[in-house]
Amino acid sequence: MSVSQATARTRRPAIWPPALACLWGAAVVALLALAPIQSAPDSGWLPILVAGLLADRLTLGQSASRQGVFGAAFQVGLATLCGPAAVLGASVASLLFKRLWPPRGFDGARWRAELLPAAWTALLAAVAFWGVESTLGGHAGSLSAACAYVAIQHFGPGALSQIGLGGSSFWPEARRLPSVPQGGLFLALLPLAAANVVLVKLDAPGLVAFALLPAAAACALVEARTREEAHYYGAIAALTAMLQRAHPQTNRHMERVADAAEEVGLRLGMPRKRARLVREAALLHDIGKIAIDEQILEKPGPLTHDEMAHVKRHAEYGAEILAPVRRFGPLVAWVRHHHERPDGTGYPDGLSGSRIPLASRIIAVVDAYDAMTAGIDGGERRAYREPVGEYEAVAELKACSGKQFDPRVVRAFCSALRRRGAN
Amino acid sequence: MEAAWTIVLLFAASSVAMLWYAKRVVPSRTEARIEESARAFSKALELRFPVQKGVTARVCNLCMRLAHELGMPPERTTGLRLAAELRDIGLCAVPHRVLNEKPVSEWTQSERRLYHRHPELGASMLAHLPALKHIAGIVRCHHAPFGEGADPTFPSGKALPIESRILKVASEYAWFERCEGKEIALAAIENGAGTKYDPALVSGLRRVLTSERDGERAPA
Repeated sequence: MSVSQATARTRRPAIWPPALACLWGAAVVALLALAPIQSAPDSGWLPILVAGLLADRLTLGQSASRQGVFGAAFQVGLATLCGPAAVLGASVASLLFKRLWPPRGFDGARWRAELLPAAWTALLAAVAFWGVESTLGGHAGSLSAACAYVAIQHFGPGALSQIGLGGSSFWPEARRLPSVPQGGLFLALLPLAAANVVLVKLDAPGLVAFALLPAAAACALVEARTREEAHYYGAIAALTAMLQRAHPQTNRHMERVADAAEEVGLRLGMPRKRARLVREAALLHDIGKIAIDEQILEKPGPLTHDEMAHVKRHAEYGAEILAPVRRFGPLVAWVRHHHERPDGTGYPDGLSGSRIPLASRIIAVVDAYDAMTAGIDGGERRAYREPVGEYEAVAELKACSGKQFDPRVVRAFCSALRRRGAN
Repeated sequence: MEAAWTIVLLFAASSVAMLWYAKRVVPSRTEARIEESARAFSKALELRFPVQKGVTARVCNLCMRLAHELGMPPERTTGLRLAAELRDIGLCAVPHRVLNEKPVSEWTQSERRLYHRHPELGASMLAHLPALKHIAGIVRCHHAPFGEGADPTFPSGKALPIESRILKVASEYAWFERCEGKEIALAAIENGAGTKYDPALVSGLRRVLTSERDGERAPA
């Protein structure tokens, strides 16, 4: 009852809530009022801290992107005016604040996940701030220093997790943190920089209000882009949900294949974005099985010729389903060809060698390995074959490399497996 | 001094451009993407249930005409059309063979139960898409009976979204029409007015169908 009533009401999300306007107003007032503090930083600590906490508190209900943009803008201002120690103090205080009076959805796990990256990066950022400020000097120096500081604060956790030091390697919960679109940060830095220049050059503090317009525009842009992205990933999630309903035994298979395919792509030297696309293709590679009769797929014995032909059509069906979505453009061919073989005996088009897209070759290897090993620890074993162990599966991949699988992909996959085994 | 003013103007101009992009360009692109993904979903359904081919087009057509007949504002009909296309997305959970080959009279109890869950399953799939949340609500109720107290898990009567009521009449009529022909289908729908279907919509359907026949006769 409640679900239908809540969802049936089509309500446009409020784009310009008064709260946001108040926040920006408060930020500008704080900037103006606290500008003289530059000469005497010790006196302005408390009001800025309070303002920061208040801002943090008020943006909590907002979307993650808005929080990120607002937080970055506020921190740049704070660091310019009072130095990095103030930002550090405000972040720590806000974390404590959230711990003591947790907002909805903010549990202990999330707190732990946020604390560590904050601590890692704060130190690094502070060093960068003092370094830049003392090299450049003056107003330009402190502004650039603040930008560097905040940039490190925001990009630091991601960069650290790349080299294996991020929060997620210690607390898996950190993966759940909503990621702020990073372009928004720079958009938020611009208005602050403008405000600063105007303040200094024109000696007309009222003009700082100009900073509001770009900042608001940045917020709107980040929000619109976030919604667009959410729709894209939602479409992928909905399609996989359809497949899982149709074939419940494929449940975890998709995710495992997607993880492995992305890793193999990276190992083969694909750029990060491309590897992400391969991941999405791997998630959707069997989407055409929606149109295949489950009883045939789960049939224990060998399939008749007709049944085999029916099952083989899933590659074409998959491409057909993905074709209407323009953003799935490259994925269509990859999904269509994920059962081609380098020796040209695959289906549906009998492509051979390098005419098969690399992504399809990756998916073929990863999919075969997962299908062979699936069900070794119970659960989703396939009706038509006994699960085999990891070693036998790797031996099989190597035996078929060159004929059924691309040798380069098989090598990359095996080294990825070894690394995973070592960890 | 001059440079500072230039910077101010530059920022003002660029932020206006940015606002236009964020408020006009991106949303219209998102709209287009919603359409595209809806087409992908209905393609998947069509491939899974070739039996249904043509029914969906008929349902969409009837829904649009009914909405027009009721004087529904055009911005709401978009949602109705999407809901009409995606209404049966939950049917993926019903086995391929049951829907495509087995006559309804031979279905087992558990197959029937699975079939009756399809509006709910469909809604849960659409809930993955934030932009289609309201459509999920329509899909969830698209087989809910109109009559009071017939099914306590759903709202009844006017508390049902109007889109769901339209969709129920249109989709069930289209299915009957395909199986039994126009006259019997309309009789079956009129029989259920008040209990299964909203009476206002049943009379609307009759008007739509009559005008359809007039339309067919007119060019001859």
